[in-house]
Amino acid sequence: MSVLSTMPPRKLRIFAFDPSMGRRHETLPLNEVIVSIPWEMDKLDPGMPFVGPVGEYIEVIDFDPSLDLVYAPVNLHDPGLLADNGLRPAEWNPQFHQQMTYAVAMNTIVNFESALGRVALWAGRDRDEKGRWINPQYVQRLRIYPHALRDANAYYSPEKKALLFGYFAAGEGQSGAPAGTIIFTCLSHDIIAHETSHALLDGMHPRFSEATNPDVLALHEAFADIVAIFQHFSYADVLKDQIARTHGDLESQNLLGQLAQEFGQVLGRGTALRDALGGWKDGVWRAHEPNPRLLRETEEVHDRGAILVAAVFRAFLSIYRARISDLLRIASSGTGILPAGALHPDLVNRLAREASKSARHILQMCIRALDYCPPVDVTFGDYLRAIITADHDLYPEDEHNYRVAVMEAFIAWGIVPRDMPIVSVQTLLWPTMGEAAADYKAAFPRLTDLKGEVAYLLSRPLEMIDELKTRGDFTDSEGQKFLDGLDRTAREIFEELNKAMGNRLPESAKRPKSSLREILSRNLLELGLEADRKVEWLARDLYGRLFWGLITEAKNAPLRDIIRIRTDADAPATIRRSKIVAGPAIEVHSVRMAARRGNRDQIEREYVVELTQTRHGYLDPKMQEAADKGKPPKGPYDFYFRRGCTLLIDAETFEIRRVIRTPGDICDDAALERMRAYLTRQARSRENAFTTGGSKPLRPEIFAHLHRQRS
Amino acid sequence: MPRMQAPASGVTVRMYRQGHGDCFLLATPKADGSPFYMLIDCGLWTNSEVKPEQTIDKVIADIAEATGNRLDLVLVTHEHMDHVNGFAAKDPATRKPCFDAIEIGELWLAWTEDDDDPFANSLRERFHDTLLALMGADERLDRAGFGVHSPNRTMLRDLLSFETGEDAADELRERLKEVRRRHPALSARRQGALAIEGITNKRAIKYLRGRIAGDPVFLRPDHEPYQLPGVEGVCVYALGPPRDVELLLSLEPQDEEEFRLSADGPTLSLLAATVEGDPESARRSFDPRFGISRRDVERSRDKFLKAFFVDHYGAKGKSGPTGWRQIDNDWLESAETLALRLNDEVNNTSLVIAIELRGTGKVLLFTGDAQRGNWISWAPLKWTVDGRTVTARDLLGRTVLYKVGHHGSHNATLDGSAAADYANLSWLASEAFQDEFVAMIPANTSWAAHKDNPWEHPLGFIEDRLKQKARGRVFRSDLDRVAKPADVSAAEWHKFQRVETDLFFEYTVSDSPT
Repeated sequence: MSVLSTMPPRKLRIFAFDPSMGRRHETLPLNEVIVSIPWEMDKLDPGMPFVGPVGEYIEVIDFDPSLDLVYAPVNLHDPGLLADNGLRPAEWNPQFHQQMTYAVAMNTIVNFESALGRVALWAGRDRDEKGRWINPQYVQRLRIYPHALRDANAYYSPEKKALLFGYFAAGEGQSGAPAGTIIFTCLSHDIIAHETSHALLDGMHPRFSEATNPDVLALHEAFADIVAIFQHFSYADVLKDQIARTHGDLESQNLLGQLAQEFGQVLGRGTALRDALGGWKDGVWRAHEPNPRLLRETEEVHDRGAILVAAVFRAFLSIYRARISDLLRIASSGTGILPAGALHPDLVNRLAREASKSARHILQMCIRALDYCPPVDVTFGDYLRAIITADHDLYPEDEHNYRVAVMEAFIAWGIVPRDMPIVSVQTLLWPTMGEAAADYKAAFPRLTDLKGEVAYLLSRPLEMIDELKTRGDFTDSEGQKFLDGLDRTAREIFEELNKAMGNRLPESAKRPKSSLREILSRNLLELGLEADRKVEWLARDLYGRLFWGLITEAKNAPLRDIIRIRTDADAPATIRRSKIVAGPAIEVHSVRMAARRGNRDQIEREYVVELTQTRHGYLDPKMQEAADKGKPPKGPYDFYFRRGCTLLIDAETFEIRRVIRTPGDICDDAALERMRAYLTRQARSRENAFTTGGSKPLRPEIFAHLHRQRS
Repeated sequence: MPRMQAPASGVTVRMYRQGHGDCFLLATPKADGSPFYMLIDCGLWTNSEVKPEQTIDKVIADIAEATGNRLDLVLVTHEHMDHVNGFAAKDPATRKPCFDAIEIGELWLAWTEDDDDPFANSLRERFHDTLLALMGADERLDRAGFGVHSPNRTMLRDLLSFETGEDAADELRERLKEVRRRHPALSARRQGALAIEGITNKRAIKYLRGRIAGDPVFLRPDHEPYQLPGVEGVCVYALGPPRDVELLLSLEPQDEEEFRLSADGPTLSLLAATVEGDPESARRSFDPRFGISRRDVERSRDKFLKAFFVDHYGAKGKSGPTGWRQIDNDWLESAETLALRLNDEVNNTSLVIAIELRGTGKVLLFTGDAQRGNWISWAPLKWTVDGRTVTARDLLGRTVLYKVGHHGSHNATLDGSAAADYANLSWLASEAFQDEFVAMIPANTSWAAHKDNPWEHPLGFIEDRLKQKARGRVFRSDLDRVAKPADVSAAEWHKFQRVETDLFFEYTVSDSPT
């Protein structure tokens, strides 16, 4: 164990972009980079084989069903590979494909975890073999199938918690690769990073795969692209090359802002699949000019997503420009205008450092913002508010004006929150509990009490369980089931912790009864990146249920009012009812902790709690009216309408720092009508001339349909 | 049944009500006063009859009787089952083609059917490859134990039926086996082409070509208007299919290079894996030393590899604890996307005609199943007739009868505004012509909604828009009567003269000023 904690990072070779770079003389030096993955991510003894690779987070299973072939798994602990940073890039060797998918996916996870300060978890398995809903089960590893499809496609499957990569032969007359060459999507850095990001986002926000407005799936796509693009900036050699080539001007055409070169070229686009910076028209490459009207006119998911990506990239460029202006003046005797000719290598290095810092910061802002989104029905405007608020809460002083840069870029592309009369860095901040209460005009007298209760819940879970057992308003059988479930999870946490810690538990902890108390008398979410992932999963779940116990208490009705959670008995009958207490159900999915290092190097910690409510929606308003009154028509409802709220709770003071609500509550018919109108519009514009399923926002393999080549 | 009369002027349209399929008989007076009969398509999706007794045989018998056993012209819009299988239908008693009794003067087809057109030939090759890949995918699903009613096969099989014209989607597979047995020496592609020649849709066209004296006329949009032999005062404009590949196939533009229509890389990759006959090397993605077949892994003495694979992936056919993550058949789902694309592409090859009545300028528009790309291609079209310029927009604006494309699905009638720069519903029947506008939708809605894999035909939204525009004058084959909307006066409705029978609707567009 002690040896492992001091192991240097695991280094692995990957294609920096994809194999097409190695086919061109000019880009050959950009063919390969080495990524470093902290050894503790996969705490494996270097003396033992590491095959698959199947580690803590990822399992690569290389089976090609179309040919019924299994490709033998690579052993990354083979001495020859350990000594040489893994296999060298080779399109012809499936074991390199395994290594590359593993390495890029892990690298993406590392970025995620370091931005959020906690271990990453995949979405739980919530359906059984027959497709019936079950309580989400822990899924330890994301599965990767490098050769799953024979198609110009790759996707994240939320059903299988797996990435499926396709391959296909290049057609004739393409610029990307000679005809007949096989193009493997699993060898594209960008495609792997993109799909892994989908999986990571799904792990945080399973409801973001429900297309309830035009932005939800577009955000999924945009986010996945943002992660892939900004990872380019962490590869120093590539970055330096591009800085030298563009003369430090990253606004001119360059590879860093482009996605999936080979894939795009081979499909006949003659250029990368997507380009955050600009595009070709009539044989000339031009930078995108921000167009504030474009968003309103665009419905297609990828096109909409591209607008968000362009806005984020614009923010990055203005930050980069600001950070290098002094360097440019130093290098140009004060004029700021660089002389023609190659840049001095020292200047290239310095510019690259600034570019990489700016990129890292923007990427972290974008990832952290995910904790600051409403739990359902997210919009681009919400995401802007999330970025600004998350950054504000970590760095109260905006020393480098990053937040203004982001706001300006988003406004330039027409991304502003709906119904916001004044858009400024201040108004974009999500309201605090105090502000939300004041706006509701119901000054909540119990805010201090509430703090105490939250503190109690989080630091004394077992006592909280005991207290819940004294609640008199639970139904008999379901209430008992709920309470038994709490006990069971607590025991499970104890067992898993025991397992994780091996024999390192103190001798006294071996007496089960008292040690259970001992272990659960501290806050399990505080472990951060040190946490065992299974324990983290169980703890989030347990705290979520305890929080549910807190929020459903009768005395907390005023709090529910402020955060717009409805529990009145006469609410529309289509709202899902609780089995445990009277009235509409509240779902508390999980309680997770966000830990970040602020600019004074202090650790900022917050709990993120998400609450949602669900209502059955009908496309026909008349049916809705009848069903709301308790007379549902025969046949199934058409969609789920959900509203909810994310609460951010300070881990030191237990104060509710931010209240992030969806517009309207679950009884709000106007919000329901907005969603209905969107679904109806979708059904009319779908590509397929036959099916009627387009009105259902929930599709099992939603990302497969999105990613198929749109030709 | 008596003979169908040609009107004194203009065109009478008889819309057959067989079910999900198109069949339109048109009559117009010739210069010598005798009637000119023209048939546009004749097809019916198997078992989609509106009324069980109104079969396609009955429709054909009626055509024979109505025309006195002579069609001056047969026009086929495109090669889909529900537009052509009537031409391959056989009399159950005599086993002879039902159309044998009817003499056929001319055959009009889209330019895409022309064997001498290299563009058309490469298009056909693309369709063949795609069709074979789909057939192969269906076969693989079959072998994997999915029944014909399983959700991952119903859509694929429906689309295969469209393309082949066979009720049983396995027909093509049987034919291919037969061809392989008979011609083992031929290349896989040639064998595929031979098998495809035998499918119903192809046999229907071949039958028609054999029934006429000369060659068919291949209509193209860049050709001057066509004349009906012996008829004066009627002009036929071909609006589609476009010669523009991007619109025809909805492909993305590619540099300046000339387009190659061969099936794209992904399709060929699927083809290589699903259809036997190609050399092993075409299917493989790595050199043989790399892959080990699953069977060999499961029986392997390499305990390590076996354990690794079985522990993580699971054994074949056994669900086990990790069974829910297996991906044995996910790759075949590409076939469904591909099938939908092929269906769109073939729909887009629809021959679209505007029949112009020279006296009043009124137009009857028959679009086959033309989809978006075809519609988009019309706007720039123009012709010079007797020194005056006729644009597609003129023709659409003068349209008083519209045969609704693709049974009223959303992407076969473009919605848009009059100000839009592409042809759409608002371009049809402008100003005074709107007073007379009628629409005809061949569809069997309740049948389509209750299929294994239901279709929404017509789409409620499109039908509503049409009814609004036509003030209720919309024929739908599965509804016995055209219902008068509440807000239309009896006097206005009375002007809408029509014949409604169990077998057909009849409506006349007159060419004399009212």
